[in-house]
Amino acid sequence: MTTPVLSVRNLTIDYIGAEKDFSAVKNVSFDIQPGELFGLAGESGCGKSTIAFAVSRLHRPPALIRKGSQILVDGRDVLTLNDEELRSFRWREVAMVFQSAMNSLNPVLTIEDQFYDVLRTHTDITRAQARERAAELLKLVDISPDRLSAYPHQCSGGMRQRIVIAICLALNPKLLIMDEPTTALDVVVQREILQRIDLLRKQLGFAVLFITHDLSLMVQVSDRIGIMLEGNLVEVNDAQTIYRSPQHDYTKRLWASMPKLHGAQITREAKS
Amino acid sequence: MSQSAPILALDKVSKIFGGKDKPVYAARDVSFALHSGRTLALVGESGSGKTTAARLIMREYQPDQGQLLFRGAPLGKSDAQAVKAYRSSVQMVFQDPFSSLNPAHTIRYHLERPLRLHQKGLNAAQRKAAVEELLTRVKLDPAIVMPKYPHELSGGQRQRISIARALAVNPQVIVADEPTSMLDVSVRLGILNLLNDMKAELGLALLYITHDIATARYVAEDIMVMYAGQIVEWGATDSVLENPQHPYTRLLLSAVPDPDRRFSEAGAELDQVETIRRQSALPQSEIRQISENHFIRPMPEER
Amino acid sequence: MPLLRQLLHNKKAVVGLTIIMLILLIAIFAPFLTEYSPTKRVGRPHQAPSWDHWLGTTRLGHDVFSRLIHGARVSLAVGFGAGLLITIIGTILGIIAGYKGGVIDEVINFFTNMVLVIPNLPLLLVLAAFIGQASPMVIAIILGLTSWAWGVRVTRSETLSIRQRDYVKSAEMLGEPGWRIMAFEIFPNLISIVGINFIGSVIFAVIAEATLEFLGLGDPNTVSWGIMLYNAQNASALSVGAWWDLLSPCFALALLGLGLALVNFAIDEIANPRLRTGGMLNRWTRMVHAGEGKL
Repeated sequence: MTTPVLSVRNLTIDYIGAEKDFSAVKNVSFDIQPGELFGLAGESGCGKSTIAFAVSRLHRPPALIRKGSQILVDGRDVLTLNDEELRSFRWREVAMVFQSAMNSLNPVLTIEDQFYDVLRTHTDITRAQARERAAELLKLVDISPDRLSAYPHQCSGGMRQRIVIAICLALNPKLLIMDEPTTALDVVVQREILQRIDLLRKQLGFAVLFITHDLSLMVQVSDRIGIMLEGNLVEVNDAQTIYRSPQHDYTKRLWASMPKLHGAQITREAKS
Repeated sequence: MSQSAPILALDKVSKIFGGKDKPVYAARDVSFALHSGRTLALVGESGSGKTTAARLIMREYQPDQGQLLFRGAPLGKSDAQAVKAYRSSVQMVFQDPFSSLNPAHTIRYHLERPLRLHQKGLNAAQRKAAVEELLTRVKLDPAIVMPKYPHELSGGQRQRISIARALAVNPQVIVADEPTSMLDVSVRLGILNLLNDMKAELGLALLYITHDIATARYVAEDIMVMYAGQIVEWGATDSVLENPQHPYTRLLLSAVPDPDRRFSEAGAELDQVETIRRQSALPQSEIRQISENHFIRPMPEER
Repeated sequence: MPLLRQLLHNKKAVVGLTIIMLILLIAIFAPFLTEYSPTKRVGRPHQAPSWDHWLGTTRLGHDVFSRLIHGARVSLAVGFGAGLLITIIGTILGIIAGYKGGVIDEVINFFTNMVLVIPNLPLLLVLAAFIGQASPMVIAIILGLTSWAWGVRVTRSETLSIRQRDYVKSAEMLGEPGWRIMAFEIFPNLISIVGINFIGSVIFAVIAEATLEFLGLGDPNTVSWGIMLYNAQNASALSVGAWWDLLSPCFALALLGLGLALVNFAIDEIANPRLRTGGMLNRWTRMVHAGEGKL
């Protein structure tokens, strides 16, 4: 039995207000095996992004991860790491791609500089070596190396997202967290990027925690899926089972509210 | 299938930006018609020209070529009476439920203004009754909702109010610009059903703009696919979606997430994305009819 | 109004408003709070503070406390009056420029930039000197007519961003007349900016008036904090050890400024929730220290 690359145990996260607390994540537990693509689906406010942020320990007050929660990456509890350990943990073991990743590229640095920035912070690398590595990584996402001297605003949205993914893979992390990475992109670009991720996953062997509200998309790309509702993980199963024989009421309701492109159309729901 | 005369039509409309030497066609030679009681879906990616088409219809832009026909007659800029009649006949439902309502005013205010502007004969009591009726039509409880401010309501409720506001002036055409893309999945169907119901009850002509093709199939009898300012394929929804002829339409459809198909079973189009995009951006060839209600403008061959 | 209610819950606002209300009330009821007239000689020159004269006397034997609270009336009147004028001009021009765009925007911008570029204080000095001994009302009008430029800039840029919103487009599509859109659709969303602008203008006007009078450009017969400073300076109050003469109006000005600034910070905090820090996180900090959780 291999160690799961990510093991979330009893994760409870609250947002502390002046008088009341808001319970964003309620005692959630799940595992991701090495090389697996695990999808976390749910509507806005269900807590999926909160979980993603917690794994990278990116939360700011008033978020509070309750005592008793555990987030194990390759067996190590991320919640007990100090600042120094966190720095080496981030990017090396876990990397994160955000929804607005297109805006998380520094607009005043060239693409090459962005790579150098990350590589230099985590390894002892010379400029020349960094450039080589950057060209290598860009090839992985099907971008020509002559883009290295370009600035982010000179690249299209889809291209920027691919660059961010390439930077995330720079240090061969074991887990890639993707929080709605293609929601802001058109379907064709989305498809291209996800196919690329699938290929890279098979090539490099990293696992993916994939977060989105698009359930159809999730079934297409994921190995296993977890459905979240208001902070609770209500159903976890492999992708085709979630699609063909959903167990939980909420999952069934979600499928019933999504019009189908081919085949039998859904019937009207009586609710408003 | 017989159709009555169109309420609203675009006839070979083009909208050009940029200078003479480098013109950018936001819309190129676009023609389509809206009929009472029918929904026409306009699908395409961002930058395809669907927003431009909406703006042309709402008269935010004036066509550079071609004309806008309202009830068969071209709509000029100068006739104030005709413009006023147009304004109360064509209304829009916006994409963003958060910015389509003014945070400083109550829901009652939002719905009374259109009544005040377009139905001047009503007194205060009649206006209040009209507002209540509008809210009931969109399945909201007037007593609860009328005194509230927009930020006190959910996204789905706000979209319903946007629809109510559009209906307040008794329009004949409603342009719905991505009305559900910013709503939660479980709420979307309710809004789409509402639009369908209103269309049936009031005989509205609906232009439904979206990038989510599956929802277009749910609400629209007819569909148009746009790319780079041109309509490349159009006709009956079923025909276009089951038997797409234009390479771009095929590309689009094969990219739509379909839980029944694994990634590996990709359509051939996904391997030729660059070519298809390049050729589809050029002026397309003459109209070719595929069947009774299915047309394309074929993609020019690569040289 | 929701803004008012929120203000009352905010500590900074409560303290600030209390200070302002206190000064206002003292100014209004000034004649009842002191038996001395501010312009009559009622004691020996430069008497130190005592039970008879709480803040001592000036060089001419006037009661400092009496002059202070009577002077408050003038300073407040000029401050709020000029502040109001500045805000009204700035807001109206800003909204029109932002909404109408085109030629109107260009004209207003050009005019605004011109006024903005002219150095404020030297202009005031020149105008005041030209007019001779400027009474407080004249000072208020001068301030009002020369200091509105910054407000226009701020209001205009906020209007530009609101103008793009769908609800404004919706109003236009319904056929609402332009003036109605500016007054009832756009303006209600500008209230925080206008409020901050107003309070900032009041602070500016109060200080500017005091400055002009301190420099000798005011009417020496008025009783205001600026004139008190002017008199105290001429009497070399500090050098002769009569600190109460100079420090009283200084302290009063500082206190009023503090009150207004606190209210400004509070409005800013309410308008922009991201600025809320410190006090609002007390519970969170307590929990982290108790080991109940972590980031």
